Amino acid sequence: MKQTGIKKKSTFNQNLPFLIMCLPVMFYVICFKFLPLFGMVVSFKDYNYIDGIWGSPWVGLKHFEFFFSSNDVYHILGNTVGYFFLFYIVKTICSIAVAFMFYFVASNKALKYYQTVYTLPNFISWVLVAYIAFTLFSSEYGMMNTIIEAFGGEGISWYSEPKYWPVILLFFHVWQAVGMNCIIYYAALMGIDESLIEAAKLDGANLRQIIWHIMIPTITPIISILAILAVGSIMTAGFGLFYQVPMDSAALYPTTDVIDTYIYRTLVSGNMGQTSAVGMFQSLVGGFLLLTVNGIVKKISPDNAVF
Amino acid sequence: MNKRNKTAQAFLNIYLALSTLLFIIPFVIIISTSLTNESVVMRYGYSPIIREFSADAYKYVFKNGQNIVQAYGVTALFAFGGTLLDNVIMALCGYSISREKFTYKKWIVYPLIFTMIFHGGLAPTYLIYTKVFGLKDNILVYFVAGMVSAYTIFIYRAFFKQVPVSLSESAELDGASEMQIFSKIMLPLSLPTFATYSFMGLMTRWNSFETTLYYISDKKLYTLQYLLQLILKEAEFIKQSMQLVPGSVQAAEIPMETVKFAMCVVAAGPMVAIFPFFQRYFSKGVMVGAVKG
Repeated sequence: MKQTGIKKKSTFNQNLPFLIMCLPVMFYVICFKFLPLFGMVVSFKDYNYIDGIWGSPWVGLKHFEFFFSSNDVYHILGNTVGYFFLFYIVKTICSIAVAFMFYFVASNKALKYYQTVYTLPNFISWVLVAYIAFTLFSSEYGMMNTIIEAFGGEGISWYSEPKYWPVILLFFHVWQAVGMNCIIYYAALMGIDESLIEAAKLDGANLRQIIWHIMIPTITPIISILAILAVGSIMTAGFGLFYQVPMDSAALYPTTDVIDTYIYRTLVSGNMGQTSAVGMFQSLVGGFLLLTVNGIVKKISPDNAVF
Repeated sequence: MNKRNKTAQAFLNIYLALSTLLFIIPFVIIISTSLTNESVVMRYGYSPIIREFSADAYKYVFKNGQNIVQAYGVTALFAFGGTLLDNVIMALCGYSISREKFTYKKWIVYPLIFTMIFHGGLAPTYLIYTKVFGLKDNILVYFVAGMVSAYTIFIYRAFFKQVPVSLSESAELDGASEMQIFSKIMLPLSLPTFATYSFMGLMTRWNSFETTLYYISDKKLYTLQYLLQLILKEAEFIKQSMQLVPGSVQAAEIPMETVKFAMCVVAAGPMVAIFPFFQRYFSKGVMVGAVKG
């Protein structure tokens, strides 16, 4: 923004109204976002209720050592990172495919219907998704077992068999996300200049060539931006899906336990130090990755960087 | 632009129409099961088809639904009230950091960015909320949790940045204070964006259960979603919430399975039905954010 004239530095009085406007937000940020950062010191302490945050004894890296040497760490980190890649790749492919399909639908009315229905799952909570999953997978009355038994098979105890759940969770994740996620790709496709496509058709391009040479390149920058933005959340699998849908069934932990559910359970057990340590690990990895990736992107093409 | 080929369109539409079933049938199963006779459900399981209609489940829910009414009250209060409050203070902040005049804005922007990168984590947050601010079993915790999102503030900033400076300058010349400029000119201008992000916030708050899970043990302060998940997980809870003595004749007569789903429909139904109507504004708003952010 070019400013004509001399750029004055505002006086304090001129700044004051704005400072006051920011006061509620800053008060909140200081109290509820920054103060907890100091509370992270508990990661290095054996917190107990009586001594409080400051009085509890110092134990250094004990909590971190405990976590990384435990048996759980393999499946927790494995699940967290594994689901990240699984979810992200499948979700992106499906969203793009759906966006293309929406693009080619001729009838506006039909398109509106599809879009509304596809985004429906985005409005419901994970608790509702858990209900839906329950109608399908309940051992006694669930539809899956009803269908299996109708074909003469034996009903499966879904909530006790870990091996089915990566697929189940993947399905619900994509089911929930594809509606909203495809919008950005669809918008990009709609943004393609029609004359470009007309010109290509005149030059004899068939559909496959149009898709490959015009549409895909339009989408590629979006894919990379979204991927970069997503990297920072590799350690944050999300609590809702993994806690609610498997109904917190301990038998399923080998494939459904992620770092967020582990942190929650540790909190409930009262071990503040441990909870804080694992949470700190999660936060540090995420923050570090975000800054690193952002830094790399800044070097390559500054416009796409987030910070 | 679109393939006008009739066969291709037919295939595409059939495929898409069939796929929409995937999104509709789950809801149908829940609604149908709640309207089915309990003994039929016990014989044939959950199903999207109503084999034998029965409104018994709903009768029980409405007769003994104090829990749900209470939860509706709590949830509505902090979902609507909280979201409005959130967005007003975030818009205020976003507006001020968009002003060239505000030369101290670095003091606001950098801390906000920092909160986007690092967070305290569950345990430290829990300790501060409960020990320092006494938010355990306190209704205020619903307002505090998730009140400020740096990301949203930056969206507001992006919006206000592209409002012409001449607008505020001429208001200044007329003697308006900054607050007046904001409330009389800027905020009304931002209504589409404000409404969009308020709606997103409303939906998030309405659907949340984590805050109750972490901080609340007082039944009177349960949110709808938390109540729902209790109902799903614990059959005993249904009996208790119906204020019936477990083991009594009445308790044994409750159509347990169908009541579960009836409660689900009553508690979640209204909002699920309403939200999609605002979906079109939702996606427009998201795009504004994507382009400007």
